[in-house]
Amino acid sequence: MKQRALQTALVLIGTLAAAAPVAAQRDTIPAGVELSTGYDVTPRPILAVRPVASGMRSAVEAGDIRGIIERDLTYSDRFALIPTPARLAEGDIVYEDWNDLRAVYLVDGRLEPIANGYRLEVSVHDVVYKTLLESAAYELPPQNDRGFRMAVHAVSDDIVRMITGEPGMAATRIAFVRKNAAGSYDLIMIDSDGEDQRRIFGEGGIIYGSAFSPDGRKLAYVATPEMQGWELVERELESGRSRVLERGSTLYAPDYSPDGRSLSYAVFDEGGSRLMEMDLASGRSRVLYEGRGTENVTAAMYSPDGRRFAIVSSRLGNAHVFLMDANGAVGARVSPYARGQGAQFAAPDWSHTGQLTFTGGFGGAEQVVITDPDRLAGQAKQLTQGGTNEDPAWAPDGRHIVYTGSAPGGSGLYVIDTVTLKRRLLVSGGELRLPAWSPSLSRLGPPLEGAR
Amino acid sequence: MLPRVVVTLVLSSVVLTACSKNEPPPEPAPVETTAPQPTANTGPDTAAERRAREAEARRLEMEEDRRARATLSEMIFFGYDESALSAEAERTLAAKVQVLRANPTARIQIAGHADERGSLEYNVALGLRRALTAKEYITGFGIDGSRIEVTSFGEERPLDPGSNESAWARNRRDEFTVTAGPQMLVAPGS
Repeated sequence: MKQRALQTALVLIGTLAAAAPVAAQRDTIPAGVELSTGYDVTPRPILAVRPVASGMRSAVEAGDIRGIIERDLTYSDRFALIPTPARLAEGDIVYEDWNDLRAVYLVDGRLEPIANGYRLEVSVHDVVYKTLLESAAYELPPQNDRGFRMAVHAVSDDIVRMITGEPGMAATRIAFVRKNAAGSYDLIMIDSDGEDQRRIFGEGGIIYGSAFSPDGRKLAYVATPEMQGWELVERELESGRSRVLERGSTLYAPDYSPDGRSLSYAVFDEGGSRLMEMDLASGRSRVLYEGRGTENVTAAMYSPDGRRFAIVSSRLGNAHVFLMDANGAVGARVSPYARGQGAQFAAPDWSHTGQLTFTGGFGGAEQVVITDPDRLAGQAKQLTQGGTNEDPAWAPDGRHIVYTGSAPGGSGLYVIDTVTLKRRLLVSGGELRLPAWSPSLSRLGPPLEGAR
Repeated sequence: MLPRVVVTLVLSSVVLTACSKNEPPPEPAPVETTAPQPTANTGPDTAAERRAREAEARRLEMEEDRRARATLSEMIFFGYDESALSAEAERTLAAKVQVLRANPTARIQIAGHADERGSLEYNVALGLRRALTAKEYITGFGIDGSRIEVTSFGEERPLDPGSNESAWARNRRDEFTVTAGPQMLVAPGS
């Protein structure tokens, strides 16, 4: 009888908590959400990439390299690229000629074959100041080498750094999960420009959310082999070796600490819904936060300094994003809240600059929002509209976001520039989900020499 | 062999009269532990008649097993972003309690599901919350918790792949699978 009474009480609480959302499934934007509707009109500096000079032995490669760099710089959304007129394709650089084309920056390159690949020399000029901004030389592997494209992407990122002082995102990969028609799942990896798609592994059970280690060498994810319990797995990308870190009824949302020593994740079993942190060296876990009653807690994402988390909790009846200290003390609510509106907010991800992106479910359709949790808590800027857009993840440039979109224009993974709101379809497909953006995979180390 | 067949016959006839679909099941009664006395076989009997009786008994036994399994596996449904039980869901679960009592070795798995709205991971939690609510309800009537395993499929296994309210309503559910137990389940006694 006592059990029965408890049961009734639980049901009552659940009903009260859920009464508001049912009444409010209108397709309205909650208070505190500002909808971004147009492109930012800030002009972008005009940039030209001259054809890469080369001898006969490397002319094709020179053309390919220039193509990759031009596309990377276009995708950076930081510049307006213009073609190089034939008369300026070779010879000494005369700044006035480029100034007449209204170019602000000029990228020049020279390619030479060396023993095991190529040597690429790049110089970046400031046309307005009529000066060489910076130049550097890079060693590239042979074109048939698997690392060739990534090495060129790293050059593109270095060009972005030379001009803006900010990190790029070309030398990165994006991991995501594809749900196949037969109900099986594959973990896929693709370069940030949509090339070199590879299947990492696949299986019959569900595969959920992945997270890159800070060095980009490992991937943590959740798999349910044959639906026999859930496993939290860490996989070394180069060797393909994997180890099971944890098993349980349900496990999800792994995230590496910025120092790579710990992994946070969410557990929900008969012991309740809670957020955990594992010390990866010892394999020991501790409880970061325990949900009370019917409170679901579904993610703990490390802030860039590793000292706090963005968590998702349903303590207000619907899922909301909160900040939490490392000792489990929950602080400010980050997502917009209006009593009775029933919008759900979930799937937070930090940029390296401390911005948060997450999803807001308005009238049932998720949209991607961003906010600065310290200055604009309770407010958010909505980046997407139309269809359902979810699972956002920041690029390491702190400017782009990859997300799962099912807009009428086509379903797939989209990359959006949070400044201009320009979007591009990275991979098309209806059942692609939970993208994770790698850190910079530039393995070049420092440039060979600074040729000033 | 013969007495057991008769026992089953008696049991199932009781069940056939007692089981009315629309009537809400009463508070589950304590399990009937004493089996009805086998009735004596009277009169001469031809082999054909015996075979026919046995066949009929087997048919009834299978029918009873089928109904018990149907009761155990009947799904329950939930409101949007809710894990609270509706009155209808409570009735469905109460019927399962009776079958679980009548079959003490039977074990079930409850798998919670969510509609496609909300984040994938949030929906795993919501699904498990739904499975746990059903388990709590059943164990509240004294069924041992170790007989009930819970899991969640989140939004991965929709019954209806559509993106509209009626599809979502069908997808917010608990599914029940019999994972262990006797080869033939018996229906609850009166």
